[in-house]
Amino acid sequence: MRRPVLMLLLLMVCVLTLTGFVLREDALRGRDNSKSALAVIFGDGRRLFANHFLTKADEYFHRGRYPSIFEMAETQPGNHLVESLGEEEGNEPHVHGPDCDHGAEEPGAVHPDHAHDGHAGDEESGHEHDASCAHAEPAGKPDDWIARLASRFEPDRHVHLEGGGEKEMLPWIQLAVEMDPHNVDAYTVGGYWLWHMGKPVEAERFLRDGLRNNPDSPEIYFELGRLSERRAKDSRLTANLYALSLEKWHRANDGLAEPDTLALAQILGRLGRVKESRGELDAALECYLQLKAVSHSAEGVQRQIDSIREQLARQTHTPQSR
Amino acid sequence: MGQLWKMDSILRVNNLRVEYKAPSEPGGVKLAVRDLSFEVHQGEVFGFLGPNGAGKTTTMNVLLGYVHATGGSAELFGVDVRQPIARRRIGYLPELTYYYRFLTAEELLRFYAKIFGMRRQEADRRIDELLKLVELDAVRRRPIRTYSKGMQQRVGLAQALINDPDLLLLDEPTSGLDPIGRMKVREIIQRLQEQGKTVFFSSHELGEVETVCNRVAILHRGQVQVEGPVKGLLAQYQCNLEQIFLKVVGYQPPVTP
Amino acid sequence: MNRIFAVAEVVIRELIRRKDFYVLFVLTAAITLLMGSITFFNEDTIARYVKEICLLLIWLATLVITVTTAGRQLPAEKESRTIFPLLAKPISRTEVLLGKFVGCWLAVGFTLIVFYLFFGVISVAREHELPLVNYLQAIWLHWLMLGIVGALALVGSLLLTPAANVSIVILGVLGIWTVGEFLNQLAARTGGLVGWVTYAVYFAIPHLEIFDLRERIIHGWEPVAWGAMGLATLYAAVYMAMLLTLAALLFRRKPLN
Repeated sequence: MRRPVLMLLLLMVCVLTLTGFVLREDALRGRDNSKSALAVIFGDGRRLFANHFLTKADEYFHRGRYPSIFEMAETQPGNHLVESLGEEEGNEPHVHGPDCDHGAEEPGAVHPDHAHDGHAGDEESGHEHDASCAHAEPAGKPDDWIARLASRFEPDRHVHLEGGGEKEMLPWIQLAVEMDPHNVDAYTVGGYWLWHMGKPVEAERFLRDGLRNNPDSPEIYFELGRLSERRAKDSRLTANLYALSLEKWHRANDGLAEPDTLALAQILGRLGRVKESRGELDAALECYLQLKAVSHSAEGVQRQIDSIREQLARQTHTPQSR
Repeated sequence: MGQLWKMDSILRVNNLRVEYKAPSEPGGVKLAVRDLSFEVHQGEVFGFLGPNGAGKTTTMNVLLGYVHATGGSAELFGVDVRQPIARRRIGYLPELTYYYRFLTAEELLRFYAKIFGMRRQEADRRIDELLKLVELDAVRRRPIRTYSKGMQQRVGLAQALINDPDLLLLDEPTSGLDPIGRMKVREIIQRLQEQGKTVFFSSHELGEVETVCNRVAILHRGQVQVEGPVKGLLAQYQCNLEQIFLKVVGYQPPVTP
Repeated sequence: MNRIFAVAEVVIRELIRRKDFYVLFVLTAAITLLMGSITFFNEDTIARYVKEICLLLIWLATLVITVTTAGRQLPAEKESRTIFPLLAKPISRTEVLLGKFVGCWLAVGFTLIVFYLFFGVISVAREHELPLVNYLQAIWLHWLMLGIVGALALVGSLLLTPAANVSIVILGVLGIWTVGEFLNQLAARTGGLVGWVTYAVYFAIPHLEIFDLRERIIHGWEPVAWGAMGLATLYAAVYMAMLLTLAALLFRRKPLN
């Protein structure tokens, strides 16, 4: 009588055990996960698992508090973890997931959804969010006695992990890329958080893994560029990475009816800034001019263009005055 | 005299009627027992006989509360059999051994002792006594699944006696046992009879019934056809019980050319 | 009450002597330890995902143990015919049913303690802390939830074949875990007759997700308010009482042969 259930359980146990062994083996040998046995075991279904694990990482980021699809429909869609990239750096832009609907984020823009009004840290590690956050309690949720009772047993505050607690997300990110080595979001998210946790070497290795599996991804080149920029080791390398990101973006988006101009704006903004800092003002100007065409904040970009032109003019006048 | 007769009857069945739903039967109902009446008195060993399908098991099921009668009544010690309390003073040995095979004989008897609400010391004493009686004392801590069929039947007998019952219902108690096993069961029944216990005995072993029982009822097509003391019936029919049985059920031997 | 606990004791003995529990425990422990032995990004202090996997396995294992144990009780009694000598004793069908339920529930409680002890060891080894109040609350609510599931499986065992019962109850429980809490939102969006039906289902089903404190103990949230714990206990008690009443009514009318 219990045979079907036991068979199902046994199957699940076998899959879990196998997953464990494969992960362990991959971790020990540092294998290229595009050839992971998990991809062979799960077939195309692995993409669903990968997305689920990435969502799981986001749930961990919120200490188990995660909105239902109904709540998300009432607030904003998208993986919060992906959306959160860069917010900690104040005005840094970030690469968005395909369903992200934030406003434009060129240099100088502040993430509109995460204007934190305070960091009332809880007992462990994390900070609470205000109601404007995408994951906050939505208005209009049915309020019957069962829902009220159930809410007393769920994690009830919106908090983010911090102070080292973010490491708890890492296994899910790793699982996501093991399951789907073509999940670019998982690589960019993982790269960001590894750097954020003071693991730049691991972050770079992880992103390079992602690049091996997704050699045409502008997002991963962009994230590598950001990592290089943060490490402030080699601005030439940084500029090259952003330039490659731009090249890959064009390869992927040119000819599309609706190109991802948001990503383009971010790349151009970053590349322009690096070029500017390296003194390559002509190249920086070129970037900013392109950026102005796609930016939602043309005035800000124009100010940057004016500034560069001023510098260029000074450079031209200085040798003449001599 | 009639009043006295009624006073010492501990099992009474009156116009009992049991119907089953049976779509294949005319009217969609099968009459398993029809207007069955009999009584069993204190201290008797009562043989309840009949061919297969006569209604013996159905009657037994009604007495044990497994099946509810469609009509009539059945009482044990003056209490309606539908009340669990009516089974407080009875012991029942089923035809086949139906016990929790993962339990040991000792655990099984202790379980049934608890059902009867026996105190621990009383239960311990009774379990020791019964395991010695059925000669299973040496294997009392072995799971029942490791027992032979004869040993399992003796466990059954021990469980039927755990509450020191005044009435013992035995359903084919010797079926499937070897001659030694049968002899042992028969000895135990005789010992119980000597102790003044009442035994209600269903069996196909007519020789055995003739030896052990004081009184018999032969059932056929859901009704009692013959009822009376064994000695009286043997004298009345001038033949053995088996021949009486065959006559009652209307058995005709095949005619050989 | 003694009779109920006597029946319960047999159920517990059965679970102890069967291999299901040991197999599931060893598998849970093995998978948890295997998952725990993986190091991600040279970070060997990661704990929560191991806790999550361990708890998921505990929830699945105890769900399977509860449903299969409770679901097989009455059909197995009938199939092995052990119900017959049992009901020949002074015990009512309702007492048998309650004994089976109490036995399953206590046995599952024992199982939970063993599983959560293992979880506690893993948690202490990884995080070097043991939030005892949280864990006790989690075990209590988990046990209450399994009580409802066990009662559901008992009802199912009186209506369905054993295999169908086990499959339907497990799928039903998984369904309630995953979508039960959203049915009200779905009803609000759907409207009309379908909306009303969805609302009716929402209020009729036992909301098992209430008893799930996994997120709280994985992520180290503070204990739940005791008032809420009391309400959850009351909620579970009401559902168990309703389901067991239904089971008792069904069992009383159920023909045994």
